[in-house]
Parts: sequence; C-alpha cells; structure tokens
Amino acid sequence: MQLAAFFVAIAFAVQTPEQSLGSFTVAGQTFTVIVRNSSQLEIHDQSNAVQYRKPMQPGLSVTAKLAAGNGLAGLLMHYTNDNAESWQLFRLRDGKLGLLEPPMNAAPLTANAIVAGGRGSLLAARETIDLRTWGGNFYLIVPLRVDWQQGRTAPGQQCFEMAGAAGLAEVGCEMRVEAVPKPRNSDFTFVRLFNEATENMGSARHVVIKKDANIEYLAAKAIVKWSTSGDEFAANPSDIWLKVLIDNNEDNLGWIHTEEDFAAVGLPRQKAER
Amino acid sequence: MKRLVVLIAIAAAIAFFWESGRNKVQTPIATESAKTESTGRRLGPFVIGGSEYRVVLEEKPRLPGSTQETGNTVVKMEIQDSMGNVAYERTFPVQTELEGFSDAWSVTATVLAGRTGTGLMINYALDSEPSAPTPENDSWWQLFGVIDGKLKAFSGPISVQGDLLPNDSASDVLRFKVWAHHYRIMFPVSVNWAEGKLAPAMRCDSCEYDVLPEDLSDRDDLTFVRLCPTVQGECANPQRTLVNKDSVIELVAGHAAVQWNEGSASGPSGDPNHPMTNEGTIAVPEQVWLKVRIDGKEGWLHEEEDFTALRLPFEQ
Repeated sequence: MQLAAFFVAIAFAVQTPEQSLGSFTVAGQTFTVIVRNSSQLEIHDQSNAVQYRKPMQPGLSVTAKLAAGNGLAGLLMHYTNDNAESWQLFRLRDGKLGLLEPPMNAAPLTANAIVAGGRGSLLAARETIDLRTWGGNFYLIVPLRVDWQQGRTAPGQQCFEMAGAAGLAEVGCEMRVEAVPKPRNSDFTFVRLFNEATENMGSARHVVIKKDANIEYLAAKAIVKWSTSGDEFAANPSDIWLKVLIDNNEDNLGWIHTEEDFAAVGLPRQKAER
Repeated sequence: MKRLVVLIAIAAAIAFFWESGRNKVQTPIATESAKTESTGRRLGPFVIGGSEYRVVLEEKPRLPGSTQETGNTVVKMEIQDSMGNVAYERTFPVQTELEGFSDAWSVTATVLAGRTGTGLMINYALDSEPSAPTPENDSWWQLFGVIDGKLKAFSGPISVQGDLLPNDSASDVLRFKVWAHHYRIMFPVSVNWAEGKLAPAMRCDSCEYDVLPEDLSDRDDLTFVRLCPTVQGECANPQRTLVNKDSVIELVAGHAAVQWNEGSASGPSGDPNHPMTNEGTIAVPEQVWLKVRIDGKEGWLHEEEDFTALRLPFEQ
C-alpha cells in the first residue's frame, strides 16, 4: 500500500513538476511564485489562491525578487530567453496583487526635465529601482522610477544636450555597470579611447593593453528606449559606451564603444550570463 | 687714324650711356609715391633659348610691424632681355593692410635645364609676420621659356605649400613637394617645352604618389594603427597593427585627389595690391590616405587618430 502511494506521488510529480521561485512579502502579505511544467507562471497568496497566472513560452526563464520601496515593496518579475529580457512590477492594492503601468518613453522636453550646461537629466522625483539589463557585453544598471501610490513607472533618467538649431537631442545617460571579463589570450589587445562618450569630440587615443593589464570598468552610457509586450516591459539600451581605466593610469582613462574595443577589454559580445 | 679715334670715342660714349641705363636700378631711387627709398637688385644673366635675360628687382625697406622685422621687400620684378627690354613684370604691395603685421615679398630665379629645353624658374614668396609656424611654407612657382624667340610664361604662378625638388639629372618633369595634411607627396608636373605648357604628369582622378620620409621618432613606446588593405571609402574591418619604439616604419605611398590648376599664363593684372591674380594651384583635399609598411606589414591608413598614433606632423 505504501509502495503504491509512493508511485502515485512519483507519477503526480512527473505530470506536474512544480518549481517554486520563492515567497515574498509585499505590504504585509506573503506571495509565492510558482512555475508549473516550465510552461505556466502562477503567483499564489497566503490562502493558496492564484492571484496571477500567465503561460510561458518554451525557453523562457523567470526569476522573482522583491523591489523594496520606502515603506512599500513590490514584486519584480524578470523574464529572459536567449535574445531578450523583460520585466513586470507588481504592487498590492486593495488587498490584491496588481501590475504597475509600464514606463513610457518621454518626449525630449518634459516639465521636469533638467537641462543645465547644454546637458540635462530627467531626475527621479520618486523612488527608483535598478534593472540589471544585459547590454550584449556587460550589464547596465538601468534606473526605473516608481510611483507606488499612483501605480506608475517611468524612465529613471533621460539625458539631453543642446543640438544647435535642432533644439535638444537625446544622448546616453551615465549609469553603473557590472562586467565579468573573460581572460584575454593575446599578448596585446588594442582600444580606441575617447575623452567623451561620442566620436564627435576629438579623435581617439590608441592604447595597447598588455595581457596582464588591470582593467577597471567604471561606468556606461546608453540611450534607453522602453517597450511593452503584453503586460511585460523591456529596457532597450542603444549607443552603448563603456568607461574604462587601464593600469590605473589617468592617461588611459576613457570611453570605448565598438564590439572590437569591448572584446579588447575582455568583454566580447555573448549571451547573458544569468 | 682720326676716324678710328672718333669711332672709339663714340663707342665708349655709347657703352657708357648703355651701362648707365642698365645700372640705374642698382642705385637708390626716390619715387614720388613712396616715402622710403627704393633700391634695385639684378639677378642673372640667365641664358635661355640662346638669349640672355636678367631679373631686375625693385625693393623697399620692409615695415617692421609688431615683430620688428628688418630687410627689404620686393615691390616690382621685371624680366629684361639683353637689350633691357621688359619681357615680363609683376608688382607687389609694400605693406599689409593689417596694422602690426609686416609683409615681405621675395623673388628668386634659377635656370631649369630639361632634356629638351631650358627655362627660367621664378619663385615668389611672401613672409608675413607674426605668423604661426606651418609644416610647409606657401610660395609660387612660375616657369618661363622661349617660344618663337619670345619669352613666355608656361602657366600662372603655381601656389604650392611645399617646395620644388631638385632633379638628379636633366628631366622634363618638375617634382613639387606638396604638403598633404599629414605628410608630403611628390607631385610631378610635365613640361612641354615646344608648346610652352605645364600639365600634371599623372593622369588620374585620384592618384597614388611617392611620399617623402618623415621623422616618426617622437611616437609612444607602444601604440597601434588601423590598416586597411586598400583605399576605400569605408574600411569596415581595419587591422589593428602594433607599433613599438623599435618598429621599422616606411611611408610607401600617398593617395589623394590632388587638384591641378595652371592659372593664367597671360600675366598679372598689374595691381600691386593683388599680385597673384593669375595664380594656379596644386590643392590637396582633406581626405588623404597613406600607405605604410610597419615591420613588413603593409596597409593604408587615413584617419586623424592613426596619423596621430604615428606622430606624423599635423597642421594647426
């Protein structure tokens, strides 16, 4: 009899494999995130009632974590496959779990855009959370502005500069970077270092990097465009630049931006390492 | 006997007055329009096409300007035949219009012997102070020859940022050293002695020229340049090539769409304030390519940062 029960349990487990992504407490209520059969995501409340459910495409992987706010918290879902990644941000409202509105791309001139010295930044007036976004060679830490009360999100920063008669033009904002370099096999690699994250201000300096050189990845700049697909949103960085310091030599401090240069500092284009 | 004495006396008188006439530009001349004294200087004689010519220069003291320059400036140049007849002339301004500056024109002349003809090469140069140093100075070159017994300019004065290189042997090609923004090319010009004309020796829209060596010893201990296999508008995948202090670097060739303009051989306007109205030019556009050989590896480079990496000269 016990043996029969064991086989039934095994059969049930095979038919309905279940992966728990963890339990999270949002505004005093605990939610559990479950993936069933690698094909369906569910978020259960404390009474085990399903608060959210969605099908998952094959090859999609998902993680969940708390996005802590000032006295509030949300649940941040991160979906990834080989080619793309997207997010969802949930909050608790009237005792139920609900999605925040996704961020929209702001027009160049917004009421709270700050432009100073020809370069400006749309600063976060509310809380921001960091989205660790894969840029193809390394991670960009993209800020997302969150208004928990209104249930909205917005770009955490957007930068502009004066572009003559054309008015303001969007340029990349500086953001934090996380990079895991690969070992460099060549005795020498070569990078073109720019003083600014643009090719239009002076010509590049040519720096030869020795195999044992110490390379620091200091910051990134990119223009981030936001998009939505279903109830998920994505941050799409473009015109990505990376600020590096080589062998702690100020002469070798500058910005790089081509695949050839990224590879030269140990960051070749590759799939995201999750 | 008396007749002989009279003839000798007449000949002596003629010789005296002729010499006086010829030498009159060698003595100070006070002109009505100028407060400063003019002096004369003669270059030559130069034998061209069986005839003898002299270049006669009228000069005035140069205004010192803010840099306290000294010396003379040429205000008039004449090419005279053996009889003192003026075959060609050009006038120059005595002072710049800009206060504090000091301008001085100079003229030099030399016989240029080709394989099938001989000519008189005149070089006009303007020294304007104060001025920033340039990799190569501008000056004008004008070749004269004798066609049908008359002195003729083969072109207008050709403006060149560079120099005229000497030929090792008699040649009907003028070799101009021309500044090409980061290096110096050799631009050959053919001389047609029979028709009295000049023309570029290379017939192509965008040519490959010989280049002159440059001092690259000031480069960094370790750098690199990007080499393209060919001259092309967009070099998609240039090869990054290591250059160290011991690298053997050869400048192999230059590539540029050099524009030749022969100017007008018919002569200047005569307005001293615009002495080069009939000038021609050898103009090198900004877009130039340079073929180099670095430790045996050949390729073309053309961007500012690559020229800078090799410490090739640049213009302010």
